[in-house]
Amino acid sequence: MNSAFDQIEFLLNDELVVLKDVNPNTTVLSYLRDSAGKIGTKEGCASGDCGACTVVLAEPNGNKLRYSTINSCIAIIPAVNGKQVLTIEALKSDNRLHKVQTAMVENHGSQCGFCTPGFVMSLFALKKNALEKSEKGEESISANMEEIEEALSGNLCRCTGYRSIVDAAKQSLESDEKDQFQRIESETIQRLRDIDGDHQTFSPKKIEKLADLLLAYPKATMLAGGTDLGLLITQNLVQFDVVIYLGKVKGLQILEVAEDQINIGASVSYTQSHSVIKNEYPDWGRMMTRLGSLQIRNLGTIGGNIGNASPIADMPPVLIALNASITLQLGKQEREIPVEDYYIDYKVTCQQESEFIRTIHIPRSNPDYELKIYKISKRFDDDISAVLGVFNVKLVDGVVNDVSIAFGGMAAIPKRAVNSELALKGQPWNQETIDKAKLALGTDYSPLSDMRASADYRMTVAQNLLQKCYLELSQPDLNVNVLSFEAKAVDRDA
Amino acid sequence: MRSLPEINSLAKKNPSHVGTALAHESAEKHVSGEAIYVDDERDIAGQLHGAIGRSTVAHGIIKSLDLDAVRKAEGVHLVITAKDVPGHIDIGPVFPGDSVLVESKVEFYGQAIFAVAADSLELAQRAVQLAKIEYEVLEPILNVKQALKQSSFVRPVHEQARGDAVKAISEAANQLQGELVVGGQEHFYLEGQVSRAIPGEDGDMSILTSSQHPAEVQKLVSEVLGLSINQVTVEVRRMGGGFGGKETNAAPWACVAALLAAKQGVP
Ligand SMILES: Cc1cc2nc3c(=O)[nH]c(=O)nc-3n(C[C@H](O)[C@H](O)[C@H](O)COP(=O)(O)OP(=O)(O)OC[C@H]3O[C@@H](n4cnc5c(N)ncnc54)[C@H](O)[C@@H]3O)c2cc1C
Ligand code: FES
Ligand code: FES
Repeated sequence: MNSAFDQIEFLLNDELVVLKDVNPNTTVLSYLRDSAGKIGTKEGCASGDCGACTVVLAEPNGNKLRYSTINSCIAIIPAVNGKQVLTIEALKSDNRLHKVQTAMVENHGSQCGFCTPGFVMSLFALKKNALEKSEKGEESISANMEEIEEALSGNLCRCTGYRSIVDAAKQSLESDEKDQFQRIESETIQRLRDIDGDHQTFSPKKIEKLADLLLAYPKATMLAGGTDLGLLITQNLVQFDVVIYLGKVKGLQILEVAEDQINIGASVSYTQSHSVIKNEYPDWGRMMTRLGSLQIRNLGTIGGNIGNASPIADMPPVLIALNASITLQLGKQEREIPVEDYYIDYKVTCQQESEFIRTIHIPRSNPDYELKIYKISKRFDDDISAVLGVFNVKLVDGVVNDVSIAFGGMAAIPKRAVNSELALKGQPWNQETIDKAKLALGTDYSPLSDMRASADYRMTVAQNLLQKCYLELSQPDLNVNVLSFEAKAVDRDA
Repeated sequence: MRSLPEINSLAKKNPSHVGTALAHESAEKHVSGEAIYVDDERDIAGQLHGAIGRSTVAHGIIKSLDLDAVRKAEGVHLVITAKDVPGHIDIGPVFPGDSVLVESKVEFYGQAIFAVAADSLELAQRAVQLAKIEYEVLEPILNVKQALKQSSFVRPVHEQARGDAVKAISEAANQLQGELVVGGQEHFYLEGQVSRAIPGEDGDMSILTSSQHPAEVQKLVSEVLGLSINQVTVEVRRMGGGFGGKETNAAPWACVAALLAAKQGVP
């Protein structure tokens, strides 16, 4: 028997829904389609890749609602507790299409139409967020191409070729007329506040409560964004017995830039932490925009990325190369360890039963060091890495004073290249040294062959990335970006 | 949708001619989620959901097929194998060679071996996982070179030639040699393969499917069920994409749905 949440409450469009004894393994999409009869939201892939299932979550943020897109196919129902779920059915009002819908119609943004509800929801969230910014006077309503691309990065359309959809996005951003949601915004916020009580045993708000729950249920599954866990349910048909949702725990939501380090709570989403990370480490910020899609980044967390202990996760190599640490908590006991020490073997970590990741501590950037991050994947955006290489190098008078290198995808765990580091330290920064360090990579790793890449490819790429890092640091003017996308991404941030 | 190259907005440049955006006839329904696809149809009372048990080896002979646990699984009403097909097993649409369910020899990874009808899709998928199948594994042929070496051809060799190419090349002043590998891609349609079969009177069958070739679905369903073609009605309301992948390959799903529905007497 699945131990369910006591109760989950949320607004589905403008209706209050109270679910008792729900199976926490239910995905939001299956709830919408099979129980609530909201069939406008489609299922394309059931794995968070295509965006056909995109719905929008609205949550109070001060006296405004914050709108974000998610993939309902892998979001599991506890994650909408206390929020408003907006589906495609909510957009029409008084039988008239919403502006974003009209724009899609007028620009021929649909052909077979199966991806369309998902696109419309992504455009809707884009429009709501653009409106919010313009109200705050941050910028006029009219998103630039970059924002449009980001908003649509998690939606695939096979039929249209996208041009018409981008046109629709531009058109929908032209007016700043109020829509039905703005008119009742404060009312909605009040309704959400009213249901946001503390009676959900498995959606604790206080960190003490979380620690207690984990002691009581040592085998419980911790749910942060669910972008890894959801896939286990939909693709591997796994069922979890006890699920504890971390998204409401205040103590896991901290995001602070302290004097010597940045502290990020384990359940802070990528979207929330992005600007802080990008300001501190531009290369890292850039890489984050290639982690999943916007829908995935709206839910996914760094805590979950570490906790999932996947050898191909994108954050751990960066954290390891930067000598970042994490605080783990068990009951009232806390301990801080380097991220590197968290990983023991494939999917085995030093985290004990009932213990959880509380905070991630990232050192502030040091101007003496250059951080280079390279993500190699089959597709440029929204794809899992075959290899991810991170180099943090301090050069003094042409000599490698200090260096740390870590790779994802090269071993059973995210791992430091100890031998290669040794081959570099104290040596002149030249081709000869790099060649030795490249050879040393061969002793650091013996990668696997799988569907993403062969062992040979991985090793060759890892060595070439070291070469690329060398070229970039010694000849800053050299253009080493082959892809126009890559160059564009660098330009944007420059 | 990913990083896009710069795209010109034709429509803006050329307001009244080629490239002007016209609303799709279903556009208003698309953008409001009101367009109905097969999977959006409400369940009919008593409707069951099917899932297919597929081969976990690429090439082999089925030695034993133990489906007891599948039959006993929660929510399962019916399990069928090739033995339960009343009519033709072969549903090769153009040339023979495609079995609706494998009789004994598996020819590719994921080939359909049995089908389950259960109270929900999830229960059907869970039940499928309980099958115990033993195979005598044969070596699969996984690339063109290997196939050429073993003279394994799907269809008889077809040659299209003009003049004497070999001679012309050997006498040419310059010769270039190389190898070209084409990475095959499965069609990608956003809406997956899906069909609903509703049994009617006198053994008739009515199929709602997402197919580019309803007439072929009609023919093949009538053949696997051993019916005359006029006893099968096929409806295609709309498709969530097809691109050729639902030309011949929508039919197997319709056939399996029809086999389950015919045997159980419910949609
Ligand atoms: C379409 C798609 C694309 C993706 N692309 C990428 C990509 O490009 N790069 C990449 O690295 N990943 C990618 N992922 C994987 C995933 O999004 C990330 O790993 C994400 O960071 C997981 O975070 P989450 O909050 O969703 O974790 P969850 O799924 O909630 O949890 C993951 C695991 O961590 C555990 N956990 C969560 N929080 C804690 C905690 N505080 N303490 C201890 N354990 C905890 C959970 O119990 C679970 O085992 C992708 C996933 C999808 C579906
Ligand atoms: S169905 Fe494809 S992302 Fe959810
Ligand atoms: S309109 Fe068919 S996939 Fe987008």
